Amino acid sequence: MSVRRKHRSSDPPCHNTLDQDHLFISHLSGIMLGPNNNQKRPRILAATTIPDDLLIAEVLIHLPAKQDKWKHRGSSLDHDHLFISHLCGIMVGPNNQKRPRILAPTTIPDDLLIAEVLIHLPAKSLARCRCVCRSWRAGIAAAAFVRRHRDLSRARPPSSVLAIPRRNINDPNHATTTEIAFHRVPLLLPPHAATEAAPELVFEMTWPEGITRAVHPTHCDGLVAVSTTTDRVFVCNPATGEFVALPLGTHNAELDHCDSQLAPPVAIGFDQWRNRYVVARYFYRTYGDSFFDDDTGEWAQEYDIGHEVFTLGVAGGGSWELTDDPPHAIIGAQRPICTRRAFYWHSHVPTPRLVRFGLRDRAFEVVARPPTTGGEWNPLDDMAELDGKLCYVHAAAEAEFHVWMADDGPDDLRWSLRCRVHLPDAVPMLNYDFLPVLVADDGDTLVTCIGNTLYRCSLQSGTMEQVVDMERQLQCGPWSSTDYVVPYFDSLLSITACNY
Amino acid sequence: MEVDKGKGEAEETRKVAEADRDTVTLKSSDGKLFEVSKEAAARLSTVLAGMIAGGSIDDNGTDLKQIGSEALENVVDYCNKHANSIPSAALISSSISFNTAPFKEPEEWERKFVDRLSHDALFDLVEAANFLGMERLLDVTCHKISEMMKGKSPDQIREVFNIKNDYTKEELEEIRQELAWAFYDD
Repeated sequence: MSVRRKHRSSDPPCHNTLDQDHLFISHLSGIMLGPNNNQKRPRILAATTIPDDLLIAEVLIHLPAKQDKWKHRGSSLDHDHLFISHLCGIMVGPNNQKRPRILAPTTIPDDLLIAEVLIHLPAKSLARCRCVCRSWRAGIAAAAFVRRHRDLSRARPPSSVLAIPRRNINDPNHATTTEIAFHRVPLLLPPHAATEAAPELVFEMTWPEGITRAVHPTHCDGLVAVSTTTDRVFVCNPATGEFVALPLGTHNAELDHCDSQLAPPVAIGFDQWRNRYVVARYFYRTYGDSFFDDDTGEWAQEYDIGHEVFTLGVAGGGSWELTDDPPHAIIGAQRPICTRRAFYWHSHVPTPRLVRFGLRDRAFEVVARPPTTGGEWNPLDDMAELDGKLCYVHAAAEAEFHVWMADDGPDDLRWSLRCRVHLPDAVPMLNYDFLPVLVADDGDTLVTCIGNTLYRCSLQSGTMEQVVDMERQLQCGPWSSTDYVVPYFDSLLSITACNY
Repeated sequence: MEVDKGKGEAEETRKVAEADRDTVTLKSSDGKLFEVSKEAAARLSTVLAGMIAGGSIDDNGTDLKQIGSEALENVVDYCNKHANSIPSAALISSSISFNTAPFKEPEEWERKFVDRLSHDALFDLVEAANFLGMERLLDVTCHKISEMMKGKSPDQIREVFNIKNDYTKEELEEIRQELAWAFYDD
């Protein structure tokens, strides 16, 4: 069954001479019904006074099984009517003499139920719906359904984050674990104050080969790329329970030099020009530690950097493909910004820069970074994509952060300072990481993760308010969450097959 | 000829009077009459907009033989509430963008509007909204039905929607295993 959006007739033609039935029908769908279908079919309505529960349990259960006929639509002239009655759970025809009802001719598309009702359901409910019957399963699996479902999720105000708690044990003998779990943590954001405030375990799995405790997630449309402290990258869609280990990428020599807690992040995004999701990672062929060169007054580093892209949903599994080399060294401490057009990586040698990798032309260019005071960069700086915009949080001073935003586009970036935030009750001498996660529907409330706590921060005033204490809510002991939180996004996107 | 001419004039006058009216009268399948603001009807229903533009609105009640009085009452109620819920300045601009706008979450009054409906009334309203080309009302009613389905087991869904399970036992077991994660809290 194909799923299509119902016909929209924004500019219906005028039919002065047609009778009204014809007029309706032609307006509605452009399907010209013959005179037989256009007969008047008066409907006799009964007052519904039966309680809903009773109605479902005791009345609807006796309805005729129309699904059979619906399936053989070729042989059924009346499948439109059957479908509506099927949809509506209305008693039809002679089987129920108490409530004779003859349905009016209609041009409701067969797939109204799938395209208009099921489309609003979360992935988990849809998994159950696939068990209902064959036609539902086929409808939900259709690429048009998956795309529309994703687009509706994109348009929905964000209401929760996805947390991947990892117990932080600084012991080389316990650097890996076989478990990984994804929790959905609801946010209590006005005006859509969550009714279910308890976190929910969305998906967990065991990976016998082990996953390093330190990971770094990035996300796009519900696909979460989980990088590790090795060259292994996982991609997961927690909403559908798909978890895939990508083939090992080119070895990143940076991993041999940095501390064992560093999981260089990868970028994940949607290449709209090729209709594919792609994961991108940088790697160092040779890596020397950066040092401050007194002669030039700049940072310097001996390095040879490469960059590769893995296209998801390619028949045969796909492979990492080399791109042009990045023009500058990329720093693994800072998460890239993944937008609909490009990936933005941060580089700090010899001077701080932003490097853009365009998804369309697959080429690098240097773009403007926020005009921080004196062009300063701090290893605690963080970046994110927020509602289509680029966000750069500069750790300007102890417990003080400057939130910069820029529009994403083909041109160079024009940054503007949205607010200055002073952390309330900050402990002196402690380094705080201010990770921007998402912006609420009002366009003003920025949700950020600091330590194990989610805060809401007003972009207008810079005031902070605690939203969720994740360590307490998830009851999973001490863990470092700052790097382990992304927005929650419900989608049916498959990792291995292009089902969209 | 004289008579015909007079008739024509009367027809003209009637049409002018009709065009001047700011409401339209709709007639349900069981003959009940409902008045609704012409502006709201034209803005919210592509079908009524077409009829108003085409001059095929009947002053004595435009027959909507496919819609029962209960559903039509809800349609009219929705149109009137919708007309009140939007500041008048926004009316004109929204008339064009309405049908192409992406789905927006139901507003508080829309939630209340569908929450009070029985299953039957809700399903009738879906049908009426689809028939009249009322995009927003269709979105809101379908969204409500989808909310009713959340957390229901396949058996419960089949029951509500009266769907026959056309899988074999083996197939169903296979799908269930494939989707085991979706049944954690069953």
